[in-house]
Amino acid sequence: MPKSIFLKYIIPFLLWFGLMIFFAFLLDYFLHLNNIYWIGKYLGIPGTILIVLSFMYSLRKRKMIQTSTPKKLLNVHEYMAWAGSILILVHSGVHYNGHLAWMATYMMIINVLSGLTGKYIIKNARASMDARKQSLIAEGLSSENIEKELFYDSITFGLIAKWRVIHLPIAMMFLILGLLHIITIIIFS
Amino acid sequence: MNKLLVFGVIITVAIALLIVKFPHTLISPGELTNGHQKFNNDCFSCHTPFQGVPNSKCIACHNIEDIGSQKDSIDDLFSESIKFHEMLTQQNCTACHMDHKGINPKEPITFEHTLLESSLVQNCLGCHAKQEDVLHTALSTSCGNCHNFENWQSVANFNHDMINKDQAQNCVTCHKKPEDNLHSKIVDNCLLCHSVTKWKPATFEHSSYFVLDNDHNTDCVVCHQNNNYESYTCYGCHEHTPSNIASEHREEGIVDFRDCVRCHKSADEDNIQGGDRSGNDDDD
Repeated sequence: MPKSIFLKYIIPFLLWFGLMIFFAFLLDYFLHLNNIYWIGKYLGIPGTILIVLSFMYSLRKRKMIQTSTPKKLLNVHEYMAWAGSILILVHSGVHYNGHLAWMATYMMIINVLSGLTGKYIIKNARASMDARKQSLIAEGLSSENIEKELFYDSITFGLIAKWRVIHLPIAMMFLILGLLHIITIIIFS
Repeated sequence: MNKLLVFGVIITVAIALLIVKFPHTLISPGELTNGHQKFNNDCFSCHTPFQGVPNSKCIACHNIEDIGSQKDSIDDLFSESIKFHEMLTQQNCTACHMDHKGINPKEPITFEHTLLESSLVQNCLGCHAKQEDVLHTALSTSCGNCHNFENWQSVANFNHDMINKDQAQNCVTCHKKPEDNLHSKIVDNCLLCHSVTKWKPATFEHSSYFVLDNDHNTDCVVCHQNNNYESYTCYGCHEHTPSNIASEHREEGIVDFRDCVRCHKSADEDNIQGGDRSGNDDDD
């Protein structure tokens, strides 16, 4: 994989994902340290609210609401969903037994990975590849050589672009599992 | 978008059916207790939709009046000592008894003493067995003087005054005697050096043997080597060496200077007691 894409996009991608895991552990550790780990059980509620609010972007994009601009709401979507996921991860630290809850958690993690892929890799990889192509054209390389130079970039881009296609079904799966988990909690509590 | 909605509906229905078919695997928050195992896949035996676990469902099997008596035919977990359920101020089973914590959970009950009537809550031995160890049999006062409801193990208010006076002098019934040479030779009461409010620092009067002035304000091991407090040496520091001590004493005609503190109770050279210059004890 070319260094340019790896350093510019893959590293920030891993960093944001790693930070989510790190902050979840840190918050969980703080709760245990102060013997208030029971709060984790209730962090599922603000976590869910943050994630649900982050979907304003999807509504705006589909013109179902007119608030703000899609670009601003995309930023809100990214950060709110990321922060909500941290709270949900701490909530998962209650060590529940039901597989449904775990499936919802796993799907949320996959969803975050998918979202970060969209945020850091696909969007920027396309811009980077275009810029590199322009630079190679300016250097006077033949189209054959340009293709050769961009071979690994295009392979990388092709692979990661597949994430984008499945982001919505993943989000849908997360929504269904999360919703069913919440419904069962309400029914049995 | 329509395809996505169809996908969503199919998945939702499929998972919902799986939940109905395998509730224990998919949504049960934990294993039920041994006595409730038969309800593993029958959630509504105990739960009522949107109402949690109402008392009526528990009482349908566990008769409150019979809990703690031989009449309780459900199981034999309860003993006479905890036959207090009918005297609880609130009849709320799940306030104390939480299930889904495993077949044999370590902490099956989260009991709150505030649920008990005040007359009952003062009588600890009505439910708890009195500890039969030496400490507890020596105590003359009530449990609440040391223990609290939140945590039985954390004893914050222990006071030696609560021990019966004849037992209070016998420290080693509760405290282990230190095994070093100093303590192993001591047969007197610990209270000669230690106090009941704080074990350390002890009030050992070293001055009775030798005054630890500024020149002798050092670690114990400098004089008492190998943790042996029966013996001492004055040659543990650079100031005193066998040769210079021998030389100084022979100049004075003293030939037996092996036991320094027999004459020197402090570093004060003007305060030398006992002994004579021939090396004989003056009190012989």
